[in-house]
Amino acid sequence: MASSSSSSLSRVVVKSSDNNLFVVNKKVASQSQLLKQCIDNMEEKGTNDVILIPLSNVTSNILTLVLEYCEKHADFADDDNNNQELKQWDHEFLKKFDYATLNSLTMAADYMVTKSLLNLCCQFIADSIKDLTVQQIRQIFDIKNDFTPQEEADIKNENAWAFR
Amino acid sequence: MIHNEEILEEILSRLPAKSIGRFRCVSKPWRALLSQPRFIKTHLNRIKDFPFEAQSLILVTSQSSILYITQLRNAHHMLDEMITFATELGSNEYLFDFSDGLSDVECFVGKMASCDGLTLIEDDESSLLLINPTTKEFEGLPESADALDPRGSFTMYGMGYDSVSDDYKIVALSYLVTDNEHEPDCTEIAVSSPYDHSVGHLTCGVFVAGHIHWLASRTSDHSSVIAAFDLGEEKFGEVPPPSCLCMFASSSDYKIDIWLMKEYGVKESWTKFKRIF
Repeated sequence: MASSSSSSLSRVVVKSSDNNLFVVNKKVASQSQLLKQCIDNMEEKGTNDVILIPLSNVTSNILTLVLEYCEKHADFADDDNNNQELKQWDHEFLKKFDYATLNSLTMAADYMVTKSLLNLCCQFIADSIKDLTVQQIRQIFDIKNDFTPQEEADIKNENAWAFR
Repeated sequence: MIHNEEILEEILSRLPAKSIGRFRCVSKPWRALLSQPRFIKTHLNRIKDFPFEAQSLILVTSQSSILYITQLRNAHHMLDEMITFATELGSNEYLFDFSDGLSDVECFVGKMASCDGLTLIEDDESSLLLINPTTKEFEGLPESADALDPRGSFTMYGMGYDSVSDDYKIVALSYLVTDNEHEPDCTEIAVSSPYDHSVGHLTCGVFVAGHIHWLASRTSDHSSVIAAFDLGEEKFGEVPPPSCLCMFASSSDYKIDIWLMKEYGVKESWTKFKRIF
């Protein structure tokens, strides 16, 4: 174990917004820059105690998913980013979720500074909405059509190239 | 869903251009977001990471004054014929006349230039058209007051992005038709070029790092140089020529090897730099 002079944490405890505790090992937690920063700060101070990191914006449902992603990616941390098996896993992982879950996951990835998960979610959402109609987009994103009929006709006309 | 504007922008900037055009019709906030220059720039930079996804060809026919456009991945080269599923890049406002120029392909490449997909074409009547192949928008360009009379001169074009003015610039380089190749009679639209550009074939300028480049020769001693026009400062400079010799070797199976002689005169220093198919 760690000597008394140079501290090195092996695990941290992360608390979700609904007060559930998750014990996470350091390699997995380091996939999140937010958690990694907390760990680095504590190690600099020379703390040997297990630290508790509260995440006020992430529910336990979503945190479970983020940690599942981090665990998988920690296993591949030494590989290059183009690992086909990992890419396949990423795709299967996101495929299971509805838009609401994808949204929360994206927000959590942003908040926890897990850049690769954020990029992955954004690209996945973009790919899945790119062929949708204007009406379907309004439905999914819960957006009210605030154009007058004339304005809508005009803007459609301006972008007619995109409807062909 | 997604009420964080930054993340929404992250997602939407990963869409193909066509989806973006369509989604401008979703609502006023979406129209504003998807039309602002900052968003368009982010989108352009993302597309540049995947250059092969959106490459398209503009095709010119001599029979009619119509341009066609096709996605490069839809084009198949077969028995000397290009089999494509092209869509008409039509415009009621502009008529093209390519009846003469097409027989001379080398001449034609001097008549177009492009940057970030925007394409400039000059037809046989010397009218200039700027085309956005994605939106299929056309913009006729006015003749420059400084340009030489097209009947007695050659013109080459270059097009590039100037980060100083945050805009695209077109440079027209025209020189008089003359028997004396070394007569310093070059004129550039904004400034006079200190170089003689009447070397080799007409060719479009190559845009790299804020400069448009042409092969030219110095008017003082006729030595060959690469003339670089700085779009920000709007003046010419020189790029030092490569210090090593380069050779192209093509074989019957349409492969071209590029060899570099890294150390001049040393036979062993010939290195294969690249193979082009």
